[in-house]
Amino acid sequence: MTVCATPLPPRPWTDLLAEAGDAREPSAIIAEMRAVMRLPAGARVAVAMSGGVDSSAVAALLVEAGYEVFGLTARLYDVDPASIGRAGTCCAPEDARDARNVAWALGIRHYTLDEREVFARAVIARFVADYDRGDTPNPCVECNRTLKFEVLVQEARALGAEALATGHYARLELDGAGQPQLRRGLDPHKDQSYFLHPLGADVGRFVRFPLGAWHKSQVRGHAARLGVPVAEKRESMDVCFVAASTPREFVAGHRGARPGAIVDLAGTQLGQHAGIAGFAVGQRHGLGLPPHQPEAGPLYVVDKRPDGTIVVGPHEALRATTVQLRDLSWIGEPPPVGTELALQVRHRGKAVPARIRESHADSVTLSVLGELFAAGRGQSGVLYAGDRVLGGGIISSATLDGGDAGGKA
Amino acid sequence: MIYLDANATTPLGAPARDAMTAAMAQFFGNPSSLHGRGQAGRAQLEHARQTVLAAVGGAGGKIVLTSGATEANALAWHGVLADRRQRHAVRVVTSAVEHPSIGALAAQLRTSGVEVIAVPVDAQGRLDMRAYAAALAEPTTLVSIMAVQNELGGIYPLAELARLAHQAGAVFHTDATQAPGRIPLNFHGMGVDLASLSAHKAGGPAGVGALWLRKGQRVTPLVAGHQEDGLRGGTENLLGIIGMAAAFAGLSQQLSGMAQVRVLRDRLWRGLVAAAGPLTRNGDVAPEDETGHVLNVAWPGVDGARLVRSLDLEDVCVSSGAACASGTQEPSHVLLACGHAPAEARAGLRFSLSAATTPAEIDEVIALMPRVLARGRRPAS
Repeated sequence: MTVCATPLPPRPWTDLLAEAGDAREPSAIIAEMRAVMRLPAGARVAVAMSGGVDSSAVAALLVEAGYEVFGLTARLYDVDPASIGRAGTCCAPEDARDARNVAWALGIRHYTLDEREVFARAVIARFVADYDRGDTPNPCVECNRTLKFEVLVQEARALGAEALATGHYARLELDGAGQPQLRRGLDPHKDQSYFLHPLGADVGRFVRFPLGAWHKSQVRGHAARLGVPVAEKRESMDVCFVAASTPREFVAGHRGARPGAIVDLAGTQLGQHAGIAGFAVGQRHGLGLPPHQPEAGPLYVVDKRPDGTIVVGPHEALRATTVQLRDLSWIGEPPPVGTELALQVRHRGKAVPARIRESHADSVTLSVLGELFAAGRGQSGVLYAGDRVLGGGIISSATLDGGDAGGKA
Repeated sequence: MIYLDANATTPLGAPARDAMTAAMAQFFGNPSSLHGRGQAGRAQLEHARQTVLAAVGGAGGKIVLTSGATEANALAWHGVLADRRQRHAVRVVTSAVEHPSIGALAAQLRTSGVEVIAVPVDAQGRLDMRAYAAALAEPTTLVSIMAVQNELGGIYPLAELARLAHQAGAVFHTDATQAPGRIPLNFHGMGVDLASLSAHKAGGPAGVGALWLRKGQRVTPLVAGHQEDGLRGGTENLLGIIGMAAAFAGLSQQLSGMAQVRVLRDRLWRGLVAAAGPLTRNGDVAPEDETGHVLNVAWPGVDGARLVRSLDLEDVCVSSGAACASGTQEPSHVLLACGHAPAEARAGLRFSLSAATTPAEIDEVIALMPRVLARGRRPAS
């Protein structure tokens, strides 16, 4: 089990649920699970188990609801000796052990899949290459796309499961026409819908997110009620495989550090940096630049060029009025050109109004109608209608019409 | 539950279970104690030793009881090499398809600079006899070739292998873990010098095994202590040993049931070909060159480990080449040694039957397989 730096003291589940304001009877919980799963009791379902409390709670809740549950854990990478004992990772070998122990405690079957090759190719190599050419990639989205929505879905189907449930905080329902509708999780601090946009319609009908309407405190309470041994485990966070290092160190370890120039918008060199992977568009501190005239205002990273040059400029230069997304996918039918929706460019960022200007099979150009700053290339741009995810893609450019802007390729 | 994984372990047979249950109530003496309780334990121990010795045709030899075949393998290798090393440089010849416990010994010795030759096998897992003879052209200390291949069921010609090893001046060891009850054993007559045995592949309990030594064969102990004639220290696992002896007392009976096991195994193969083809067979050799209880097959493009999981969810226990609970899934080293590409080696699926297998179970698996395969095939992408 992942060792926590400061273990939480165990508390009675009755206290946890009282604090969470969840006084429901188990029968109500079971009824909710059946509704979310859309399957009768006894149906075979797979749970993607990471070893954390969320997916463990899902497995326990589905067992309680009478399903034939089995757990799947993907082993994604080898242990980084520096990260042993460090909380905040997921899917490391010790997490696979946690998942197995939870499964055994619940009396369900559990299988660990060796997906190190797929993960290295589809997630780590892309992460390194994207960072190296100046993008700021989001490996969690890529991991969901390939590992969860392809590998685990395929495995679950191959093993005869009628659905694959995960511990994500997002709501997933079918509309009257049987089309999946992905919505934000109800816990605003946990909403993970941003990372789930590569969900296509086919996978969207197979996958279930039983925690979408739950708050984290309820999940902890019910995990404890059902005797889940990792109910006290700390949150996972950060890029899991980077573990104890920073993205810059990680990318440098794979590609070698690539120092470069720091220039202003006019191209004048202001300084040097040790490698672009250490910087994100919108970053203000840590540039190591000599002090300049205070009336000019603070300088921000506004672009990271493939040649390794970092461009800095005033805050206004981070503004974008046109955003292009590549590798786009829609969960349902693509909305027509002219549709107004909301664009979110980072997890927990604010969605800003935007309009579809051009639409192609796997890309879209958006006119930003609100204030959008620091939309870094490589990040996901997710398109919402209210709390519903319509689709999303990877930001390929973010520009200020009639001017220079951050993220310009 | 349909259990077709007898090469991983067999369920505890009635003779072993009954003998152990009775012993649990009766014997608690330490066989090294001088008093009556100790003497009663010692009597059981020696009786068990003689039973095992007789069951493997080990007349005149010695049985050193161990925690299992892995320890017996280590005692054979390290024990022979340590004994010789004081006087000579050492060199080992083994095969490319040995059990991982032998593979680990080979790797360990190579790290310390000992030359270990792994003799290749052909596409069906038969030992390359020309390469074997060539390997023995240089002075060799120890030869170690398994008796029955655990993934394929192939039988290796121990008598011939031992004769050639002796001609080269080497000591001949065999890991005979999968042999008892599956093929007739006569270590003495076959010319074997050391043989590793395990109880739990023949209806005995796990955690107990033995190393058989030809009369006069010396080994240096791994664990110092006066027990087992000074060859293996530590208070004896009397209950386990009694269970092993009870199981081994019935080896000839198990052996006589093998003809029926072979009938079922062939029924499984024909049934799968008819109902769930196309599939290929690994270790397809003449009937006299295999035990008749193993069926190793591959459905092209279908991951064997996935089939194991899929069958497990239908309560059918089988095995792929080499599964590991820690989540690393390496292709079977045996199928790789047979010349298969890694992707082909990952497709391997092993059914290993026992006398407890019934025709109804075989028919159920045949009927189940098309459905499991239909949902298990990876899409063309």
